[in-house]
Amino acid sequence: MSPTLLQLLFGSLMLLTYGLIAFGLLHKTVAALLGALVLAALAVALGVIPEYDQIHEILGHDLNVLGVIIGTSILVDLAGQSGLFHFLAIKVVKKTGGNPIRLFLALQLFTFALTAVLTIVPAMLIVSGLVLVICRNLNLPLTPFLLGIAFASNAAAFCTFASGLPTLMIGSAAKIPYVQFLQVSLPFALVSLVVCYLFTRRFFRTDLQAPANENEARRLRQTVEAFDEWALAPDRGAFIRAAGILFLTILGFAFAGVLHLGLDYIAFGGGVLMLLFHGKSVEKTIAKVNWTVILFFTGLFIIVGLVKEVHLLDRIAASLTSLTGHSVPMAVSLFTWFSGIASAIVDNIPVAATMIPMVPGMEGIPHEPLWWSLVLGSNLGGSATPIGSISCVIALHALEHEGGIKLGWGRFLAVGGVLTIIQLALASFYLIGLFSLGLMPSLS
Amino acid sequence: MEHREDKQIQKNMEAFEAALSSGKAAREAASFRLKGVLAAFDGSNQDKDVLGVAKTLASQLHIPLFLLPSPHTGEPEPKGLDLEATLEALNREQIQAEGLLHEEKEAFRGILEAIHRKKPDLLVLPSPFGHDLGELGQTTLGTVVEVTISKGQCPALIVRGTLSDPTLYLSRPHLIIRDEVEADNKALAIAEILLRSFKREELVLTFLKPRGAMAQEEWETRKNQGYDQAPAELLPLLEGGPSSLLHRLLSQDPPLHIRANLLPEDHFSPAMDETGGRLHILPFTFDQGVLPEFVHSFVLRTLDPVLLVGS
Repeated sequence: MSPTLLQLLFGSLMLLTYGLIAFGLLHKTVAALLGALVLAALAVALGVIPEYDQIHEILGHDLNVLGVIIGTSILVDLAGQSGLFHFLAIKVVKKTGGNPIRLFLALQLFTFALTAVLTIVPAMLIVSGLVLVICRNLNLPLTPFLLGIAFASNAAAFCTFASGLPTLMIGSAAKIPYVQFLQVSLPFALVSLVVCYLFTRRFFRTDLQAPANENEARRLRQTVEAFDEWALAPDRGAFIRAAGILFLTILGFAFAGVLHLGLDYIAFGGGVLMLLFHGKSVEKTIAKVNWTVILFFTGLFIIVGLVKEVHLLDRIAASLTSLTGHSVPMAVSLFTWFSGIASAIVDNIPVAATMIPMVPGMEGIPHEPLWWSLVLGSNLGGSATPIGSISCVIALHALEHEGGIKLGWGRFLAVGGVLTIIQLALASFYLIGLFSLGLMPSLS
Repeated sequence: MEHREDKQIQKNMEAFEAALSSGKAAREAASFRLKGVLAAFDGSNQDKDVLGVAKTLASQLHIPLFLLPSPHTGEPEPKGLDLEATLEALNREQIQAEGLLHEEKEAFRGILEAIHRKKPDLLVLPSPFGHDLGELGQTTLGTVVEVTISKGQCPALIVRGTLSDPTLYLSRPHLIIRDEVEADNKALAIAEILLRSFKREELVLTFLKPRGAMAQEEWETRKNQGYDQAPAELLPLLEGGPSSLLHRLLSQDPPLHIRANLLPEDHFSPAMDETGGRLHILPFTFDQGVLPEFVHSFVLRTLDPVLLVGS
């Protein structure tokens, strides 16, 4: 079979898999595994790979990503069991005195911080549970709060290497040192959060009002002050141990490069320490690791690896290079906006997985700004549509099932879509500016 | 969205709701004060023990004592308490006491009427056990006690056996924690009041859990390790219970000496373990307005006084 036909066949099967995921026709893990099985069989039969063992080599390149996911899963689950995050959540809420405007800001800030440390899913599950209880008890509207934390969570997903799965994949593939995240993506994550707060605050201005009078303010204050944070963290020893191990792990991520260790080693180290000092039931904890995500990634890595073997992604990269005319601003804009828009339609993980192999193929253009475009675009794009990111899916699910409010695409796009356009535009300017001013650190 | 994520949101919501109700209960309990005690008599030999307990409480806590004699049965010689003589003796001991009379024929109506009128924070009652109640008396607390507790909504101290020295019992509270958020907090607040009044520093706790609450493996390693365990080891077993108040007690200066043990709910017998000779404080939640079976069997299995704190 000619190379072009092979590229067409493999490319179509990859797009078909993404279509099954995007339209929810199959569970994303089943779709990814099925796609991997079909492509692997075709690759062997059509001689794309000399022997089946090469599949293991393809998968081997991404084992570090799987290691980080497993290690942090154990760490986060056990730290969560100690009540640490619930405790902090209540502390934050109490500080606001129940004032809806302060609460709106505090919850976005807290979600941002929690996502930076735990990734989107665990952070959103904790904070959306809190939002539902708070809004119910304070008689506050659910929509602004749930959407606000979902957008804040997306803004935080590129704070550090381990804040989001696409970030982890891109960071791993590009071998971006942890400290560069603090230099490049963290400052812009903070800018995105400010934009998110200001925009959502303005959009929901009629829903978010300060207490009408002193009596109302007192009622709100008394309700939030009634929360007993220690009720969720009865074992102070475990609580302190969990906080300590979590802190050490974050420190480990930051210094992994200096120590010549992989991030998967640090994540596993944190997970094992947690099992040693806090694990009540090792088997239960390990069973709670999100194996659905691990298997989804496994399937996806095989699909993208095999599509790469037929040089389809190199070909697309070469076309993109000529399209941009080797211009960095053009390439940055293209990568930021394309990854952003694609992530709004399909899950941002397949988008990142597919675009990662294209960056090395962009010859004649510095790769650093492209990696960062991919990091920012794939994470920010998730806020654009109701299906763009898991944070929006969780927020809308909670809104519908617990609040009985079904938010249509139109209303969602009016807030999420517009916010994403602003954030993607700012991201493009930021990266182009950073590169033009020579402030973007290079990757050795 | 995955089913497990949906379940996790529900679980988190429940946790935050529990934190809210625990906080409300803790706040209410923290402001709880014993301002008056009502002693109800039934004309039996136990009246003197009831009086002994009520008098000790009133004297130690410096609160008024209301005495409610048994209803007049029409017999020429009223049994039990001589109200006038008792009031005189109490006044001599500088205890603020007041006698209450009622026309109600049924004892529990008289008690409820007194609770309504005087609003005591604690009720002291004789136990029907040992009275001539036949089989009924052997298996239940008796109508008067049950109706009074469930309708009176007032903590009730049931006097069992013969107490030669009530102080010995009242100053040594044994609190049973069964994850009854509201009642647990109130019960703990009462225990704290008693300890402070009697200037004692030791509180004994029993964490009672149904067997299904923990994995078999954990049960085997943690159950019945004696009462010399550090409470911090057992505090993680609390599920939204009085953790706030307990932590406060543990961190106060000087710290309260708390001894704790974990026991399975179905095998706990206050008569058999080393907590005997104490005032057992049993928090519970009313089961559709009636006393749960557990309370009946608990009271009937001990010869110590039992303080029932319902919510």
